[in-house]
Amino acid sequence: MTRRNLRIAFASAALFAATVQASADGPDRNAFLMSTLLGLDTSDLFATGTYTPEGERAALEAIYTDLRTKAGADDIEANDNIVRFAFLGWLAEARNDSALSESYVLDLQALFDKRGDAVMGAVAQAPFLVPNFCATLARFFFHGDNPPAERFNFFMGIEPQMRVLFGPLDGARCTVAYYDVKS
Amino acid sequence: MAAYTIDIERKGRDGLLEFRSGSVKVSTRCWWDPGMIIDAKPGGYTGISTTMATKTDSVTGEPRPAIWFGKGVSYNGGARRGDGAFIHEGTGASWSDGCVVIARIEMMRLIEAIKPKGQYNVTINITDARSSGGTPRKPVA
Repeated sequence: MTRRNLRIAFASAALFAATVQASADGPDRNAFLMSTLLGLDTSDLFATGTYTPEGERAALEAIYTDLRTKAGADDIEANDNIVRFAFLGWLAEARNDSALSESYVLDLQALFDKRGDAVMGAVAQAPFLVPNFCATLARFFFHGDNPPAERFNFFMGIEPQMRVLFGPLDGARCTVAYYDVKS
Repeated sequence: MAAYTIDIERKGRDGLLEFRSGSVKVSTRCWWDPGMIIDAKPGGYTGISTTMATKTDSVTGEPRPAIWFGKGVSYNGGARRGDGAFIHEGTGASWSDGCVVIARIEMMRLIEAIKPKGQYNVTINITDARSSGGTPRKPVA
């Protein structure tokens, strides 16, 4: 990860107030995500004697599924949860998490199909997420049995509103990231 | 506690996954993302049977059965390292972003033979018959 992206990650992680507190209910979400992003030991975030690697994996998956649900909700918290969910997709790429990436490529498209403008508007709040977000939209068309050729029509359909919501600089970054995906 | 072995032989753009336990024999084609190739490791990976909370079984809709490779899996000759490598159902390389995928029917036979579940009792061996092909994905900037 470059220094620039690391600074971005720290700045964005400020959105997740870090309250480190071991709990029998699982690790503090914000501290856990920060430690996961940085590749730090998370064992002290779990109640004494309860940490296991598979439990750590389960905790990450639980955060993902929770935010996936909340991002799709029609409530006043949805906007913030969309950004948090997009952050998880970014984290999956940053941490080379194959399984999370596989899930995210499908889940993001499902969310986008449901409320694309709201999703783009939310992602626009955290511009460092734009390249991963746009690349993930493109990757959907190479996933499973999806038709790669359809990605061109898809982007043409969203591009006008995307440029409004992202602005010229991030709009250009989105376009580059989208078309940089070749498989 | 019984120990199990999964052997994955990469032969190019796909490979052969083999597993045997008692009368259960699995010998099936497998696939992976050619841009995220799990490195072969001396002694194999110590895996654990589990379910993936973020994905569902294509038939039951329940959390997807899988074998987790554990933490710190190396990809692409050490260029990347991650904690999200699994063996799970899939019908081709396009279903993978680095996981090894096999047909669901074979995955279910494999999973159901492993007892007890949720234990680190699965050794996963990966070998390369020849170059696995594909272009490793460029590292994240």
